[in-house]
Amino acid sequence: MSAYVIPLLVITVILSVAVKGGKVYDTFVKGAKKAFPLVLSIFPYLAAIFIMTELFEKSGLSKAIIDLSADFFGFFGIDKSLVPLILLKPFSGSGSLGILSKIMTDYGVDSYLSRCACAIYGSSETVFYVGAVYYSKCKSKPPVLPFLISLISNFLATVFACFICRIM
Amino acid sequence: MNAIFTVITLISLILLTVQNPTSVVTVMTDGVEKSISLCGKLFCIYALWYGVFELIERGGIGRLIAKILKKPVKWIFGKTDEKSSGYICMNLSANLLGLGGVATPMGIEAEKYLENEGNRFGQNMLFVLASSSIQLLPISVIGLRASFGSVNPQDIILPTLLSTAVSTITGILLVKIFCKR
Repeated sequence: MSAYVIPLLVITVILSVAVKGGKVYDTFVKGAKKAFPLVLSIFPYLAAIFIMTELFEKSGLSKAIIDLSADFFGFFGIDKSLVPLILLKPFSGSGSLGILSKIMTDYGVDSYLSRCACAIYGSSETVFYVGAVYYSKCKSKPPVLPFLISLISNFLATVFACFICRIM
Repeated sequence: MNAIFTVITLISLILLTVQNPTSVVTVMTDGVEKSISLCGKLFCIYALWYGVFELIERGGIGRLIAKILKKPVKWIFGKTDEKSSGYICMNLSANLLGLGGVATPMGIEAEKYLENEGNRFGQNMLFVLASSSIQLLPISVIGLRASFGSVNPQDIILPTLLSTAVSTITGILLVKIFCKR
């Protein structure tokens, strides 16, 4: 079933432009052009994050922190290998993307851990980043309560993802 | 992010220097090398999807979704001005499609208008919705799985969608219960 979602989406999208007499090829190229500056703009962030995560892991600090928090996350059924992803996600999109790709490299793309990491990555957001940006034009300071609510909702989704990936 | 980066990098560097000083440079350049390989993968994903996104906007699918969202937005947000609810609909439709870049400016405008209205509840609701992830199709995750050679990259769609629903529904309910109108 899910295999049809993306092909059908792309077909519908192309048709929606074609029936209006739009230029499909030109429009696609115009959009694809944006990929290059986008990747260039996130490269320095990824470089910094990967330097950090490599040092973090090779120095043994990662293992120490994971072991310390393993009981807390284990209580919710979350595997300790996913802890770095969960801790970084609210702060940095490119950072957590880096960690996600590292999990896929380390444990194999179709393993439970990788699928679980994908579901966690896809179902949570960079709460602090979104908050900073969305409230940027407001005069008053953003309140604390909605941040708490977002963090709690994202955490529940993470717990749920770890559970659902066991059976799906 | 600055604080996290500084603290983690600094402590790791000190620990690694104590244990094995010769490996420090190799470990750091290894990091950059890995980031380059990820950038290559991301470039393929973005080139494809930004092309498709452009077609989505051109074909009017974004506007169509914004129209469909009018009713649910009214239920979730209660009474809002015409202008802010317009921005809210556009923001949510872009976020549903995974067009973060399109959604963000709409979100910033919506928050500004909601503040001018004195609608704190609406401000909180919009922020919680945007930060609970409402994306329907996790495109970059699927692309990344494909580039790592997954047998079935798309089989992550349903688990992700269900988890996303958990965070979004929890968020809406908590705001409705705890944030005063």
